[in-house]
Amino acid sequence: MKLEFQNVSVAFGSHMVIDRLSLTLEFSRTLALIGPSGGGKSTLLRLIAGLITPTAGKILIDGSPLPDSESDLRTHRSALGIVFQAYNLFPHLSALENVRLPLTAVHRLSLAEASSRAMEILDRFRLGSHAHKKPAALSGGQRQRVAIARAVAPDPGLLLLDEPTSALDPEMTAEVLDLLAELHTTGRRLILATHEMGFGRTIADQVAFVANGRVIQWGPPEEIFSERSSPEIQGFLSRILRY
Amino acid sequence: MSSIFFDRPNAPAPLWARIAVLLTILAGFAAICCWLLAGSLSNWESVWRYRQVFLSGWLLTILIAAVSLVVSLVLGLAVALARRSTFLPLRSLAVLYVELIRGSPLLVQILFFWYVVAAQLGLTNRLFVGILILSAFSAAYLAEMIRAGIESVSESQLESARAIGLHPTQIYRYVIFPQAIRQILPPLAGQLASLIKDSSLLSVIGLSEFTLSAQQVNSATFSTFESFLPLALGYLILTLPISMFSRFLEHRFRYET
Repeated sequence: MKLEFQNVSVAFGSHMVIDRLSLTLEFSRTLALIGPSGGGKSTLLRLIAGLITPTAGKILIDGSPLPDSESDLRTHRSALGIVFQAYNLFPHLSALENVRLPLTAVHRLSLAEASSRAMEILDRFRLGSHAHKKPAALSGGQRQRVAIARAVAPDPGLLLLDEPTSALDPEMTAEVLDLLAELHTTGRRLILATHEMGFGRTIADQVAFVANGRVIQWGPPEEIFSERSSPEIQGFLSRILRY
Repeated sequence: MSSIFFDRPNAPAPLWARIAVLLTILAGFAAICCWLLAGSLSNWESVWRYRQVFLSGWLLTILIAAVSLVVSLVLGLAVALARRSTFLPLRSLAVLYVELIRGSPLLVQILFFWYVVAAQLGLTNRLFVGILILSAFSAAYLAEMIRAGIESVSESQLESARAIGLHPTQIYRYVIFPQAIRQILPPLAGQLASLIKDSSLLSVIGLSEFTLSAQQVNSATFSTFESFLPLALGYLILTLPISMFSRFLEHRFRYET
C-alpha cells in the first residue's frame, strides 16, 4: 500500500499543525506511527481517513487522490474502519446496535443480515455475551473491542487506529493488542498510531516517526528501533523507555 | 428515632415516614386554606349553576395547550436547527426571533399580534390566532432547550458518527437526537406546564378559555373566590401530572447511560 503526501499543509485557525509535508510511505500490511503526543500522528490519520481535509496539498492512496467534496469523502470513510482513542461507541446503543448501525445505515444491509453479521463478529471477538449491554456496562477493554468490531464489520480494506489503547490500563491494553495482533495475522491492513513501542515493533512492517508535524524518519522497525535511527528518535525512545 | 425524617442516599427514610410527612403537610395546608377562606366562601350554589361554563373553558384550555404543544415543538425544532445553521442570515433571524420573544412579556405579544398583526392580515379567528401566538411564544423557549440538548452531544460522538460514514441527516437521526432527548425531556415537561398556565393570558383577547370563563362567572355571580378557586384547581389538575411525569422521566434517564 502506498501513501503519498504532496505539499500537504493543515492549519487549525492560525496554528500550522502540518507544514508542507511531502513524502511517500510504502508498507505491505501494517504501518505504525510513533512519536510524541501533539506531534501530528492523529492529524495524519485523520487526513488519511478523510475526517479532515488539508488546507493545501494533495494526498494519494495507492495512486488515487482523496476527493475534495464531503459526499465523496463520506464514501471514502465508509470504505475504511476507524477507531479512536476513546469514546468511540454511541452510549445510547447496545454493543450489537453499535456494530449494526453502519451496516444498516451506511452499507444498506437488511436488519436481519446486519444483525447476524454483527453477532458473528462479536462472537469471534468473544463479546457475544455482552452483545446486549450498553457501553456504560462494559469495561474499557471491552468497549474498545466493540469499537474495533464495529470498524471491522463492513470488511474495510484498511483499518485506521488512533492510539486505541492510550485510555486503558495494562491488562485491558493487552486484551485489545491481542485482538489487533489477531487481525494482523488474518491479513488485515492496519495503520496504527501508538505509544506501545513493543507492539508496533512486532506487528508493523514499516514505522514512521512523527514529530512537530513532520515525518522525521520512516523505515522497517529493525532500522527505526536501532542505533542507526536519527537522534530525535533516539532521544524520544530513551525518554519513554527510561522507567 | 430522630433520623427517620431524613432521607439520605445511604439511609433512605421508611415509607411510612414519607406518607406521614405528606399527609401532615396536606392536612396543615387544608386547615390553613379553610381558615383563610372561611369568611369569603359562601356562594357555591350560584357558582355551581355555571359549571358548564367552567367545563367548556377548561376543555378549550386543554385544546389550546395540546395544539400549541405540537406546533411549538415543530417550530422550536426548526428554530433550533436554524440557530445552528452555518448560513448566516438564517442563523441571525433565528437569534433575533428567540431574543425578541424571550425578552418581551407574553401579554404584550398577545395584544400586539391580535390588535395589530392579525387585524392587518385580516385574521379574525381568535382561537387560531391565540394558538399561533402561544406556539410562537413557547417555540422560542423550546428552541433554546433543544439547541442546548443538541450541543450537549460531545464532539467525539460526532467524529465517530462521521467516521462510520453517516451523512448529516443520519447523524442527527441516529446519534444526536437520541442522546439529546435525555437532556431535553425534563425541561420540556416543565415548558409544557408553563404553556398550560400561559394560555390563561389569551383571555385578554376574548378567547373564552378557562380563565375568561372564571372571570365571566365572577362578574355574573359577584363571588370572586368561589370563581377563582376552581380555576386554580383546574390548572393544577393539568400541571401536577406533568411535573410528576417529568420527575419520572428524570429518574428513568438518570441511570441509563
